Amino acid sequence: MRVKVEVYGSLRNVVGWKSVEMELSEDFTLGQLLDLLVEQKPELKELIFEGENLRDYLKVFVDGRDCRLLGGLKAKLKDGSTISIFPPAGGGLFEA
Amino acid sequence: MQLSLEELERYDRQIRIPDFGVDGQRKLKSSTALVAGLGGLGCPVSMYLAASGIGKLVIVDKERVELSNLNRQILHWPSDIGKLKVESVAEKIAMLNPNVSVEPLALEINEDNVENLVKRVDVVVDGMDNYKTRFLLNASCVSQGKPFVHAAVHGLEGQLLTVLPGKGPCLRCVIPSEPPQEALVPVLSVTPGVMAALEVMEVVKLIVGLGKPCSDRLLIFDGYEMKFHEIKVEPSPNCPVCSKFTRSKYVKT
Repeated sequence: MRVKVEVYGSLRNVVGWKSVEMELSEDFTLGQLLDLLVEQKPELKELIFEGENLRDYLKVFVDGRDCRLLGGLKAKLKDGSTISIFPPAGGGLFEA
Repeated sequence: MQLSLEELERYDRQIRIPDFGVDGQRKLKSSTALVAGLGGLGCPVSMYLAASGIGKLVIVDKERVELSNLNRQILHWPSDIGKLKVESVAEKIAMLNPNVSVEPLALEINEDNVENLVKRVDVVVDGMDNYKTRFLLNASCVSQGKPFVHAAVHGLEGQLLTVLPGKGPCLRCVIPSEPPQEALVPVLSVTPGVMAALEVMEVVKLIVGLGKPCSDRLLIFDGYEMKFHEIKVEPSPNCPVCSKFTRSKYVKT
């Protein structure tokens, strides 16, 4: 399946893109997708995760719905899904 | 609260708004707002609140005007560089609308003074550049039952949330822990203008009693795509700030 990932705010400087399309095998979860992103950009790990969990100030949408309402990291992705990752504005995520 | 003939003419166009009227204008005139921070958000917030005819502005900022402020902090002009921001804003507001009384306070908002600052106003408007102070203002507003209109900006993006203590989530329900602070946040000139205008819209609606506040959603503005996103937010049962207050405590009269 194919999904679109969008990042916002200071995360754009970290990953170097605003959105990408990714080809994933079936039954991918949000957590597996984020792991894949971290694999490509190891700096993301600390920005996205706090231990095993999503950072509590990070907002992650799957198709416009807060992932926390969809099972969090266990949320299932489907073909055509858009995943949007928002750090809080005005706080930034790294030292500029 | 009486309105002069000058005021009735000055505010004529908004008095014509259904459900606003002379009564709405009187409510504004008898209200006091705290503008916390006089930067990119606080400058246009102060301007629009003054132009709208708020009775009193308590403006707080400890800093002086620098050249790199001028791209977005539109009440500070080149001749103000080096001046206290509260002085610069107080002067401009006096010119824009002499009906508004302004209390300039050149101080840093901290644990010791936040309660007193919040106590003397009807509503608090977020013009801060850091979450530490935002969390202090949020907690104090929750404990005193005062509305807190939050906004923040980054680049071409911004976010908005109106905290109505006892009626909806507070800032800590939505952003539970302090995000790491970026030393110099990149900001396009107009992004704080967009978000400040939305903040003032919320303040005026709250005071006058118009419409519905943005208290159950985090509104995210994406200037790149010119889109607004909304995240539904709810009071968190584990919120360290607001979960200990019961809803009934803040039934507004």
